[in-house]
Amino acid sequence: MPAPLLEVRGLKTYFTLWGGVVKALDGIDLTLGVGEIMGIVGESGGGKSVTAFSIMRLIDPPGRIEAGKILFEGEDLLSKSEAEMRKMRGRAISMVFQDPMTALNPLHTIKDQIDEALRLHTGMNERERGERILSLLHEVGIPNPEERLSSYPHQFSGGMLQRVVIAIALAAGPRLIIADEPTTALDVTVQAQILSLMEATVRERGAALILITHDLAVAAGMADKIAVMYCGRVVEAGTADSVIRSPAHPYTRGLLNSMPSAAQTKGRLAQIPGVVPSLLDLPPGCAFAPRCELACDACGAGVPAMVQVEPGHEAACFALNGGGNI
Amino acid sequence: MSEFLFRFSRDKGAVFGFAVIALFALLAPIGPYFVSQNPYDLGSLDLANAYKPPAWLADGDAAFPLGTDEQGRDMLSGIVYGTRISLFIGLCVTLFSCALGTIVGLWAGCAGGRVDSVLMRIVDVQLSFPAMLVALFIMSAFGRGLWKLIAALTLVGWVMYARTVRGAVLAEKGREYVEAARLIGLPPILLALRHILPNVATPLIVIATVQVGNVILTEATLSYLGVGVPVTEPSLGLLVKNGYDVLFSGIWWVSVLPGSFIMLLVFGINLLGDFLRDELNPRLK
Amino acid sequence: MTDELLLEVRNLTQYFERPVSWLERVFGGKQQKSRVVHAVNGVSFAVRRGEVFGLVGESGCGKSTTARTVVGLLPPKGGEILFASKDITGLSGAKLTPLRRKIQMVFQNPYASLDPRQRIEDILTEPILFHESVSRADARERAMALLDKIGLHRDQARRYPHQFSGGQRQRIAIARALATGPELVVADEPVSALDVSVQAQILNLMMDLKDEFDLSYLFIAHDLSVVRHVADRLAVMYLGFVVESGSSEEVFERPLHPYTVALLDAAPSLAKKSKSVPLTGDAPSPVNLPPGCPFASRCPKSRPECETERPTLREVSESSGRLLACHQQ
Repeated sequence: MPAPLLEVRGLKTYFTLWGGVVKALDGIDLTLGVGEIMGIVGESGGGKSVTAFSIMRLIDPPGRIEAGKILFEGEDLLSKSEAEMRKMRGRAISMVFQDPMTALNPLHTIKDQIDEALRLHTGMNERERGERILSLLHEVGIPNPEERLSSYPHQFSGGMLQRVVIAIALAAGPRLIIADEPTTALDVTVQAQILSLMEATVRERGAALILITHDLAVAAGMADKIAVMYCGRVVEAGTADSVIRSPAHPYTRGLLNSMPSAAQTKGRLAQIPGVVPSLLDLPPGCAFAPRCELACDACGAGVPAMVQVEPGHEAACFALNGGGNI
Repeated sequence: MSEFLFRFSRDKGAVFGFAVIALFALLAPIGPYFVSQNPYDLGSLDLANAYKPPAWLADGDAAFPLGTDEQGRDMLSGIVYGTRISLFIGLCVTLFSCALGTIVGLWAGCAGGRVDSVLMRIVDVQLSFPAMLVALFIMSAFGRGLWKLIAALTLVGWVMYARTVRGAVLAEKGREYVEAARLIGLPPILLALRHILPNVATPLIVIATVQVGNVILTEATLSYLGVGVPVTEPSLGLLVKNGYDVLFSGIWWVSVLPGSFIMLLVFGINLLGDFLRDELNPRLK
Repeated sequence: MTDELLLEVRNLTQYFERPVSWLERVFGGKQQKSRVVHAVNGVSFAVRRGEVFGLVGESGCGKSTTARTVVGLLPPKGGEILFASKDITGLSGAKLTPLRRKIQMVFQNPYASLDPRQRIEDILTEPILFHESVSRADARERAMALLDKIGLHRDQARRYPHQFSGGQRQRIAIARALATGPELVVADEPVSALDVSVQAQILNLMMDLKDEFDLSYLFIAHDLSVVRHVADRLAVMYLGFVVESGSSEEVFERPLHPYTVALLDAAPSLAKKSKSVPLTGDAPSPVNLPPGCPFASRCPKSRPECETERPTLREVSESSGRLLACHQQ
């Protein structure tokens, strides 16, 4: 098996607030191969975005990465200096944010903003950069790129802007792109365009993609692997087909069942009872236990470890065969 | 609330500012009991004591720890009483101009249309005159006096609150909770008082805090120019003026010491104001 | 469900004018004329007593503006609104007050729709005290009963909105809407700001309350799967026009308008990877409405007459009440 592109081991990111320590990430493991697309799925408070920002090493106080390893191409990002990290960001790993309106500077033309990424991260001269900008805009499907070069962000629609943001993320040829809810701010028909564009471009370039989304259906549509997060832990991870077809963790099952779908048109939706607990006041043991229909005494006593459900598919639940403490 | 205290205790500037203000706030009411003379009682003054330097200098007199002025008045007593006057003016003016400005701003913002245009043009016109000039005109027209000064500074100060409140009202008016209240059928006056006013209070508190310091400075300047408080009730600004004539003949303490107190007081207020602005602004969280 | 029409909207028009400032007049070049945003362009539909009527479309299609006009937050620029066969189109102020009780609204964002400075019990008693001459204690008791209905504890009534999660806040907003005893609740994207598992809770709650309080819903949403789940009938909007309407089963099983087809195809689903080609481009600007069919610029089946002639909404089959605005059929 080839070495993975990204390996996250035991990553813990804590925020010290008044009232206590928020364990936003409490020991998560992720593995991503070269050119793979991984969907990180979960509801708000699960730790999806903190995962992205931790990998980019963009956690600001009062947050701190407490423990763990983030191996990117075999090197631990956590042992790099800030200066070295600055060189990685945008060049080796780049990011696409949720809201394209705020991700771009309204005072600069889109040409300048793409050019900036190229100037910082490539040794191209001005003519090469100009050609590259055109080819990038063409690649992300902006019609008549020559005419749009000197436009400002407010002259674009949300979908078109997200294409520009993707062009910037692609500019320096990163090996990994992290997209944090890239289509949540967009309309359904535009979302479909952007998702198929992202999938096509990363597949073509052989880059890996971490797609962070609250929508299991979006992840199911394009990811090779899916990791489901709940309250700062990965509770289920595996190949997308396997996770969607045979979800093993009760939380994943609950999420799937509570989506209104074509199958059940009327009547009551299956719902997960209760609310996501506050990260300041997590229940002991498995954080999902108070909402879980399968909860037993063991669930309140210890945190379940990931066990293999089938090859390439694991979940953290005591109700599974062989489920045990960490 | 205790989360507020937690963050407060972590902000050294805010703690320092608060300590300074607390000190002054204590000094104003109880200070007179601790100082040696009542500076307003001309009978207690002795011209033989004029221009004594502070106690730590050669020729200093332990009876006058911060020296004396040209009438033999103890500077420490003068400063304690002056702080009282300055703080009183600062608080009164802030309270009155905040109240007036809030009423106008709330009315303009909620009513909109022509009412809004007229009120805001008045504000614009007033803002186009230098505040100091307006105060100077009013004071020279009506003469000196503590309450006249407070009235003049209030007339100068309310416009800023009116503008801020109107801006905040316009922002809140479109929020969904206000629309929900409209759907209940609440008449505009209830809407304004019950739902909008409590939600625009935050920026008001912040401005009001900082404005106390500004008012004290403006008052000091007016008193320095000789159109502020009467000479019988010297504020800190008037004390500075009293020492100006002899400032360059080596008798620096009569001006510099009250001036330092003004600076310390306003600095403390501004530090606290900064903290409140960061703390109460939900956008910064 | 009966055939009695509770709400009838006929030919509703709503637009927003943005005047040109003198600065733009001096420097503006192109933007010399005031811009008119045509948000709703002659929309008609009816909500029967006891039904859930869905209004579906993407952002900017005019569905929220329609909702806000119906509840009276915006005065309509044209058309008629009938509630229980009474014309309420131009009513305002005191004449509208008794009707306010009957039509209430649930907003999209539960973080913005509750007054952050009011306690929950005040949020719930305020509408009761305003509309009925009851004692404060009685109003409080009614508010407590509402808390029971929406699944919150009575001892949470003294708390402020920020102490609740998004789903709990939306429950409170629903309780407030029910406090006046409404017949019609206009729900503007009531679950789109919530997490998936909470969405299901809120949708179930709304359906339970509908039966218990004999409510009718005008349910606005962009999420087709949500609408399909709750709505009896629906209308699909695009650029301020209704392009298709009918019973939700029929519209979902057999969409007729090319836009509805595209919308259904684009919705992500767990059934792996739809192979259809996503729509290209964006909706035209509501400032310059196209002269023909509003969807013509993106329509895969567009014909010359689509560019010039605006199709009218007409019945396609007598029995089912399917309405369609398309030159193709």
